[in-house]
Amino acid sequence: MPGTDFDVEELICNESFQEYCLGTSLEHQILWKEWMATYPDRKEDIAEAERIVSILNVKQGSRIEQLKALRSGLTQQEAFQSAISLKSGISFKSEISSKEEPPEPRIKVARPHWYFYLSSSAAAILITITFLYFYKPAFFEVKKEQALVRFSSGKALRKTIILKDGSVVTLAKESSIRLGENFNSSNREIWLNGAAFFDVKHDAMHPFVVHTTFNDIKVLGTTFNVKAYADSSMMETALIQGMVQVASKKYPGYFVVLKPNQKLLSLNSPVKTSISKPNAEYRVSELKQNAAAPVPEEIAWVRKRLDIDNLPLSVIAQRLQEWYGITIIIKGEEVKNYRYSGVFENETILKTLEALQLSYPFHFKVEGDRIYINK
Amino acid sequence: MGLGEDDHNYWEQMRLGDKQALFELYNRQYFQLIRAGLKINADDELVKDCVNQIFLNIWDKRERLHPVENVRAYLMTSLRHCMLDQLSYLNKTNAALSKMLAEEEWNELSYEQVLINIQQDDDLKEKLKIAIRQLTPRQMELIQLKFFEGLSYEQISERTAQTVKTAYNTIYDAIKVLRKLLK
Repeated sequence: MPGTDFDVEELICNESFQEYCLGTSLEHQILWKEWMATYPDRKEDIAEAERIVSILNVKQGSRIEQLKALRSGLTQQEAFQSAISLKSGISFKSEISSKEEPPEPRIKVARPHWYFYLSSSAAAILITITFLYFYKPAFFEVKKEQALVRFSSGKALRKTIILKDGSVVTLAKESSIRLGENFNSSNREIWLNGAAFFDVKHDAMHPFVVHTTFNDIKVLGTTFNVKAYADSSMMETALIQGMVQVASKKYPGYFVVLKPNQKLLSLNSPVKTSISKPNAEYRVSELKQNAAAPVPEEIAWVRKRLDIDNLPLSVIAQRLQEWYGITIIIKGEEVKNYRYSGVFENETILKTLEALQLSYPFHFKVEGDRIYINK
Repeated sequence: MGLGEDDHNYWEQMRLGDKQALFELYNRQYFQLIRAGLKINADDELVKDCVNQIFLNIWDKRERLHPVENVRAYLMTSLRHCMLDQLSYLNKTNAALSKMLAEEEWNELSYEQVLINIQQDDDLKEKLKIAIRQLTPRQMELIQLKFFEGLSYEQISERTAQTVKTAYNTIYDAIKVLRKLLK
């Protein structure tokens, strides 16, 4: 181990130290971590040396960290794929035997009635890995020519739309969205008037952008709520999970980045006076969450708790229609009588359907604002 | 066994579903890929994201992949495409860059350009420009070999026909200058 008399230049020129900065192998990490623990008064010198090495090696490091990121990306990819192949396995079995057996989920695959409660970390994984799914032709089939490029809720309290990239938008009352030209997985722009809750498929390569009259909201993550009625003097963006960047149209170059459980209030006024300042017009605050109100009130209107106790799919479908504001059509008498029990909380319609599928399988097809279920 | 052959074998094993082989390839190709990417666009986060993305894609479609003669070339091409996709989406390309990337023959950024462009901080950028001008061409050359290419002092001494001690001292002196100017 190098002695304590190393000056900063010697540290920088030391090959083992350089390897440590690049993160090439554990042995160097261990060696230098020990050195730092042994000589804590050299902490600043180490920091300076690391800084200069990082400038000179133009941030190539750290390979160890990047490999970790790759591993975790792979794990997510696989977790999702095994969920899919598990589903196909079950489907195959059920197709063969469904004629003889009554539609009672308990008999199949030793799966008990499904109690489904997604914690936020599990939800994040589902969100991040589902984007891979849409590159495979599988259970989801989105109509090739989407004639509708505009969706409105009108008087309905909630209206849910599933976009071509798998993102889910729930419109509030009197709200509408317009999709960008050729909206698809690599081109994700939306214009919003009103209020909507977004559950965006994570795709760092293709940001999802929501345009409102006064602000452009770039989604760097997943779940958030926007309230931007044209005739209102305020716009509110509440972020549940992920990260969004709200860029002001009035003050080009000014933007606010929101982290989970933060909310941005901005004044909508096209007028810029001599004393207009972006700081005065954009205010970030925390979402209130407590035991009495575990779901922040900003998004309470979107999702409720869905309790089902041994109900047939036809009834469940109706409940889902009401909750999510999306049309569900079941084809086939047998499927209508499949029974399920479970508790669904804070889920999008897609995840609820997937959860039901895992319990006892069926197929469903999404077409914009309609879902078709069949055997 | 030549290095290329090793890569070829890892590639084959990876295709058969050996995840460890994928990680071996990753470790072997990582720095070359990062460097190549930085010379296309000096954005370390973009480059690192793309490098990881191409490996995720390769693993995902491993069963549909063919045996590959030159693994490095394949990966380099994948990386270029990945970066071009991302850059064009972010509207960061200009006509010249797009043309270059499409033609597979491009004027890479120099090490000095990467050094400066990768920094966000304007103050640091200025200091770097000044610092680079203070160094002799010889010093810059050695700094690049050591810190960018990652060569050892031995390799550098062979490459530049001088002793290890001379190579070390040249770099040491350059670092002394840099340290002062980059405070």
